[in-house]
Amino acid sequence: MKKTEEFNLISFESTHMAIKSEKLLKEVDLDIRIIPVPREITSSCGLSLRINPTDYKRSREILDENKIEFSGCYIVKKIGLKKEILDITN
Amino acid sequence: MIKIDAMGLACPLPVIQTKKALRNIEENGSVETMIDNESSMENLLKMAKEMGLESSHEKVEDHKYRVVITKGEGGVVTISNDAASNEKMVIAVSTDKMGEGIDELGDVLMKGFIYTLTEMDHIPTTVLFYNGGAKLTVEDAPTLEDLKTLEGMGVEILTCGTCLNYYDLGDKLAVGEVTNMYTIMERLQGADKLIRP
Repeated sequence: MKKTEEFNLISFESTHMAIKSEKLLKEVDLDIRIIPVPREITSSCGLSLRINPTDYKRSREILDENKIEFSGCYIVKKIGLKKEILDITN
Repeated sequence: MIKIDAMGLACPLPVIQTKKALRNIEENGSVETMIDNESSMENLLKMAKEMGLESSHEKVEDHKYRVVITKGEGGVVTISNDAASNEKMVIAVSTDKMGEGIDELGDVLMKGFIYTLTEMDHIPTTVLFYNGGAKLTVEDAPTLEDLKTLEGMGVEILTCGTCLNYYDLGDKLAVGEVTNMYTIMERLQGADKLIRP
């Protein structure tokens, strides 16, 4: 029986931006966590935010308001250890 | 007889749970494991054979099998999370920060380390937490959710009691078990592979 989960992911250009974003979103109690960027996605910095799908829209708004630049946005579907990743950056 | 209901559990969980139960039997006892597929049954029988233990098996009905493994006098059981190998991988976490440098970065790296462990094919046998590492296994720790996942996968999570006490976290442990220096020493000595983040 494989565990399935789905979440949004935002990757960043820099470690500092990822850490700053984590702080900003935690301040407003959004369900997010900072995790290493999955190997399936390449990134310059290696940190990303894992976001509950229901908090994704609000998270994007807050990042935009604070002029945080990100490098990519994704929907990740995890089935067991396998991941299906959909790029929704644009 | 210890009974384990491993119906619906994916490989290698039935094997891990059975091994753990066998380990808890000092001598002369048996473990009955119920599984829902033939390959789990074969894995259990193989494990019993490798450990030199007596076993019996039967098909109860479709998708329901019973395996009984008996441990006689002086039987020795070691645990491993990898059905294919008996290598014991131990991770010793001695701080709540990964590496040396700025604490803020060390925090993020440690959270990432524990999270990534849950995504590995190869999971450790035991993760030990001592000194500052004890802060990672208590209530409200950012690593708690992932450690619970690991525990569910059969990983032994042990936190140093002296350390919980020193940091005044004695009643806050939220995953795994409290341990002492003897067990910590045994796990470190018994490791085939030791990793320190």
